Amino acid sequence: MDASITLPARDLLHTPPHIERRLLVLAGAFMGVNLLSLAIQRNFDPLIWWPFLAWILCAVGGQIMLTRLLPYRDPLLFPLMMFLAGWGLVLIERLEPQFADRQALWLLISVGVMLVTCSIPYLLRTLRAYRYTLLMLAIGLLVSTILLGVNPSGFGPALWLSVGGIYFQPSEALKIILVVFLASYLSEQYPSIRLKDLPRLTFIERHPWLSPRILGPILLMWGICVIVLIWQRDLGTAVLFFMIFIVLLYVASGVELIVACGGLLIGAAAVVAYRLFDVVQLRIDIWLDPWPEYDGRAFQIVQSLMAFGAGGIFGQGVGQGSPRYIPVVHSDFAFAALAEEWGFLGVIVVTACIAVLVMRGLRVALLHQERPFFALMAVGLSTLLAVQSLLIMGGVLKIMPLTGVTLPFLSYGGSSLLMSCILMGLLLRLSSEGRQP
Amino acid sequence: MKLTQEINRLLIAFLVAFLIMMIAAAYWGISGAEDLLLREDNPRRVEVEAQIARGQLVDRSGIVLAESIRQDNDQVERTYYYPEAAPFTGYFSLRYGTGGAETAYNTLLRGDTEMTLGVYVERQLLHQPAQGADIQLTLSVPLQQKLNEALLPYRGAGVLLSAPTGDILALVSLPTFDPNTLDTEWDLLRETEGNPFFNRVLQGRYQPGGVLETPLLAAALLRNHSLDDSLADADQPVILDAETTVACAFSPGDQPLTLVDAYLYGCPRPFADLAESLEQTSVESIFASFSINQPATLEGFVPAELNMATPTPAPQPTATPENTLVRNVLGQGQQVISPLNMALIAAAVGNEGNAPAPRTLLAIRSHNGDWQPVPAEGMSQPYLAASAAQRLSEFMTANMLSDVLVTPQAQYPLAGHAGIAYSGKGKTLSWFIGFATLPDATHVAVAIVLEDVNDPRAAAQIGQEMLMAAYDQRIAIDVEAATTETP
Repeated sequence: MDASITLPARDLLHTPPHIERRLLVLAGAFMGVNLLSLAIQRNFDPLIWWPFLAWILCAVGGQIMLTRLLPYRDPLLFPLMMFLAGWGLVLIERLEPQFADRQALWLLISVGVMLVTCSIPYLLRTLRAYRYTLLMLAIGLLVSTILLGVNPSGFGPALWLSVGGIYFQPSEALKIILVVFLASYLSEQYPSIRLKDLPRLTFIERHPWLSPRILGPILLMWGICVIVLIWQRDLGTAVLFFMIFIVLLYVASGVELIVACGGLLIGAAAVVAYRLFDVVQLRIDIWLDPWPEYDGRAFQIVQSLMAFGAGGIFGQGVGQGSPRYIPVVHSDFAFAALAEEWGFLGVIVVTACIAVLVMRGLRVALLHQERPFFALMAVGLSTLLAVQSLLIMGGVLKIMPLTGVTLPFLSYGGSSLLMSCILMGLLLRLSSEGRQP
Repeated sequence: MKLTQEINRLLIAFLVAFLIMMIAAAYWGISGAEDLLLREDNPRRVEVEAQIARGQLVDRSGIVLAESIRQDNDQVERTYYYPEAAPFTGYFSLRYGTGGAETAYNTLLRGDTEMTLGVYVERQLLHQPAQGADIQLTLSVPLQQKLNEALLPYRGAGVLLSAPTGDILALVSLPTFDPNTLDTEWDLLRETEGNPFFNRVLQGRYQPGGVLETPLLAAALLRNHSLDDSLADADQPVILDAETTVACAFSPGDQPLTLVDAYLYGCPRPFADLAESLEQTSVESIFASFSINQPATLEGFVPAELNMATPTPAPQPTATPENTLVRNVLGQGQQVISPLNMALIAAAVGNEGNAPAPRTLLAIRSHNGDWQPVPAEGMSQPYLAASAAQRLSEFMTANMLSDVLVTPQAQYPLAGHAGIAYSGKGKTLSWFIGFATLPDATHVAVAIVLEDVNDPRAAAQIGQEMLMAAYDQRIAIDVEAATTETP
C-alpha cells in the first residue's frame, strides 16, 4: 500500500470554490433527509429544523468567509468538518432532542470562533512566540480543574470548570495548547536533533534527543499526564496527551526508538495504573472480558457491541434503532449509536471522513517542510484528531479499553466541538499559508 | 531536512489503524451480529418480539380464543379469552416463550413469512412491526369448556376428536394454567404439584389397564375365538405380584361370564388366558397394529425431548419373563400409552377400523387476507379389519346400553368401554374410551383418564356426557344449516 502523499504543482493549489460548495450541498442534503425522516416520525415537529437552520448558517457563512479570508485553503477540510458536525447534530436530535438546540448554538459559536481563528493575521507566529505563556496557561487550567473542577451531571470525574453557568472542559483547550507548545518547542530544537553533519564528540551529541533540552520536556509531559491520570482519573486525556507528544517528538527527530520507548512507557503506566487505580482496573477488566458482567459494570460496552450487531450493514435507519439502551450514548458512545442506525456503511463513511481529514492535515504538514513549526503544528493537530477518534472508536469496538474521550464533531459536548473547530481553523490557516503561491 | 518519511509513516500508521476500526466494525456488525442479536440479554430482541402482533387463534366456529392487542407504548399484549383452552392453545410469553398451538404455529402467528420484496421493504426499511397470520384451530370452545368443567374435580386428561377428519375438538389436561397470568405465576406454577405445564393428553404415558381389552377382543375376533362360551373363573382376579392384583373393574355378580361379558365388566382373567393362548408374538403383532407402542402426538405442540416424560412417576413393578406377557396384555407394568392413542383406538373402532390422523389446524388467514382452508395432511391408519371393527362397535354399544358403566341414554348412538389400571402402590387410574356415531355417519371419539381415582364409572360418566354434547352440537349445527338454507 503506497499511502505517501505527492504534492501538486503550486499553480493548482488555488481552491476552486465550487468543489467546496458542492460538497457542502451534499452534506446539507444528507442532514436534511435524515432530519426529515425524524420529523415524519415526530409528527412533523417544526422544532426539529432549528439545528438544520443553524447548520446552514454555519455552512453558508463559513464558506463565504473562508473564501475571502483563506482563498488557498484545502477544499476538503471545511466540507468534511461540516458534514461530520451536521451528522452529529442529527445524532443528538435523535438521541437527546432536548440537547439539540444547545449543540446547534455551540456549532454557531464554534464556527464563529473558527473563522476568527482563521482571520487573525500572524496568529501562528504569535502562538509560537508566546509558547511559554501558553504552557503556563495550560498548567493554570489544569490546576484550576484539579482544585475547582465539577461535573455537570453531579457525579463522575470533575473535569469541568463552571463560568456563569456555562460548563467548559479545560482538557479540551489543553490539547491544542499542548500541540502549539510542543510544535514551537520542538521546531526550535529541530536543527540540533536533525543536523547530522555537525561534529559529534560526546554521547549526548551523538544522541541529541537524549539531551536535557529534549528529555526535559518528555519528563514534563509525562508528569502532566500522570497528574491528569491521578488527580482527574481521566485516562483518555492522559493517553491522548502522551501519544501526541511521542508522535511529535518522533516526527521532529526521526528516531524510531522514541516510538518504541513511548509504547513501553504507556504499557508500563498501564500496568502501574491497573494496580493503583480502580477506574483503570475496571476499564481493563471489562475490556478483556465484558460478558460475565453484561448487566453490571460492562453494561455500557456490551450494549455498544449489541448496537453494532443490530445495525448490520445498512443500519436500522435514523430513529428506528434502540441505541438509548447504551448509557450516556450521546457523549461517549455516539459512534455505537451511529452504527446501529446507519449500519456498517455509516461507520465506513464516518471513519473514512475522519481518515481523510487526518490525511489532508498531514498533507498540510508536507507543504510546510521548510517551516518546521508549521509542519509540526499540522502534524500535531492531525494527530490529535486521529488519536482522539481512534481512542473512542477502539474503545467502543472493544479493541482497547474505554477511555471516555469524545468523537470529534459527532459527540455531544460544547467544549469538544469548540476545540475541534479551532483545530480545523488552525489547519485551514496552515493549509492556506502552505498553498499560497 | 525533510519530514516526508516520518509523516508518510505516520500517515500509513493512521490509515492502518482506521482500517482496523472498520474491520472490527464489520466483525461486530456483520459476522458476529447474529450471535449478539440472539443473546438472551439483548434488550433489542425483547423489544422486537414485543412489537410483533401475533395473529389470532380462533376455534372451529370462529370464536376468538386469543389475540394480541397493541398498547399505547407500541408493545403488544396477548389476551386469552378462554383460559380453559390453555392445554390446547398453549401460551405466549416474552419471558418464557411459547407452548401448545402457540408453539406449533409460531412461525405463522409471528408472521415469519418468506422474505419477499414487499415484506423486506415493510419490515427492514419501514420497520413496520410484523403482523402474524390468524389461525383457525379444530378446537370447539363449547366442547372444550364442557370437558374442562367435567374434569375439573380431578387430575387427569381427556381428549375428544372426530373421525375420519381427525379434528381435535377438545383437549384437557389437569392441573392446568391461565396463560393470561403466566408471567406473574410462572414460579408458582413450576412448583405446583402435578406440573400444570405437562400436557397429559400428549405427553402422559399411563398404564392402560382394562381399556387394553378392546384391542385384545379385536384379536380374538380376528382369530375366530368363540366369544359366547362361558368361561371358568372369569371373575377371578389376576395376581401379578405381591403388590398388584388386577380384579374386575365392575362387579359381575355370580353370573357365568363369556368373553364379551368380561369385556363389559372389565374382568382381566379371560383376557390373560386369551393372551397366553395367542402367545407373545401374536400379542406384539396386535399391539403393533393398534400403534400402542408408538406414541401419537400433535406436531410441534410439545418439545420432543419431553415426550417420554410421565406425569406420575411411580416405581414400575419388576417384570419377570414369566408374567411379562400377562402384565402387558392387562395394561400394567411397562405397558404405557397416551390418552391420545386411546382416543385413536376408539375412533378406529367407530371408523371401520381406520384411525384418523389427528389434526389441529383448519384454516389460515394472512394479514388483511381471507381464510384459506388447510387440507388434512395425515393419512388414516388401518388398525383392524372393518368386520372386526363392526363387531367391536356392537360390543361397545352394548356396554353403553347396559347400566354397568353409565346410566344408559338410548336416544344417543354411543359406544364405550371403561377400565382401571394400577400405576404403582395404591395408585389407580380410571379409563374410559368411546365414540358416538353422528347423523352423517361420521364419529366423535373420546378418551378419559382420571389419576388416583378407583372408579371407572366416573370416567365413563364424563365420556358419555362429552359424546352426547358432541352429538347435540352436531345436531344443532345441522339444524342451523338447514334453517339458513330455507328461504
